[in-house]
Amino acid sequence: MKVRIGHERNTAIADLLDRALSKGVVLWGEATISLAGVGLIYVGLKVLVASVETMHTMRAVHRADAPLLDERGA
Amino acid sequence: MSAPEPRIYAYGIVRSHDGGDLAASVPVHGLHGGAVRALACGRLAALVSDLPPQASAPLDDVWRDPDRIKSLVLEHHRVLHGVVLERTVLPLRFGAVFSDDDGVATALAMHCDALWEALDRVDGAREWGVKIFCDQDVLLSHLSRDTDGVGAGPAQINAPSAGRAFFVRRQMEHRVAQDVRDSIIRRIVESGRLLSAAARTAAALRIQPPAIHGRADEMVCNSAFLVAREQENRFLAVIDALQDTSSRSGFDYELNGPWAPCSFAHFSLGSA
Repeated sequence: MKVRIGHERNTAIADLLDRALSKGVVLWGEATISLAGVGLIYVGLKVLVASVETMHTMRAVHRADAPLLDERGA
Repeated sequence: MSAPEPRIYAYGIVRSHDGGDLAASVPVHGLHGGAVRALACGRLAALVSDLPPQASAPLDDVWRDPDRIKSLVLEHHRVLHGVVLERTVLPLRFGAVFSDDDGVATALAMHCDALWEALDRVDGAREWGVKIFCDQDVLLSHLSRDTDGVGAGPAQINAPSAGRAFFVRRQMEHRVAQDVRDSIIRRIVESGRLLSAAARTAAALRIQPPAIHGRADEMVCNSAFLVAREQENRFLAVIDALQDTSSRSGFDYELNGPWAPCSFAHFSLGSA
């Protein structure tokens, strides 16, 4: 086994949140929970996992995050 | 209150012929312990569970409680994960709630073609995450060993004047930084090319900060690949090979998955 499997708890949860809260099909029903609300939860969770100082890092990294990979995904 | 009370939670969409034997292969419970069932409507079936009445009433309060939400998101994930091990599933974003079975069926009927096409795109494939980390100190010493370009000899620094020396030093630092950056970009592009060859498609994900990944080296790439099941061994072999050829130059790969293909089912279907 050469490549390590990322399973450190915080990382795994961050990977999961990134997918469950910002990816996947948004299927609106007549009672779908408002996405504005879900966005707020996401912010809440991010603050929970990351500290406030790293939010700045995150923003900086995000700005510099050029689309280096072929982004053919829908 | 005029808004309908949310009673049904939806996790994902499968083809109805895939959903029939759900109970046999995926005996999972969903949010608040509700049994997961396949709710068929024509060609499609939604994987849903009932929300208990007490769960729906204070839903607004639940949204303000990060721990509660986190456990619900984990439940959402657990259901999708159980399903994707067995069959193709189109994951819904967390928070798809309907008032009743008819509401789900209406949404499926309204977007039947788009959902069916999206299922086609992820058919027989699962999502794998690959992160690339870089220890820039190791990369730097690797570059200076391998080439003359980086960390140029002290002779150049012994320039005639202090001002000139300063200028030369600045120039070299700039060049070193540029070389390091170029190496990282080449590594990312090359990895993407080789991994994509074993995958159906790829998507860039957000880079995570050190507070999340908790490592001393830097995350330089975070990406997702949609990999057909029969290609998974090949895909994993590619990562191993990449790790082998690049660990001495300071790169390290981290794999996560398999996931339901969330990053490849990334669109919104509006209500009527």
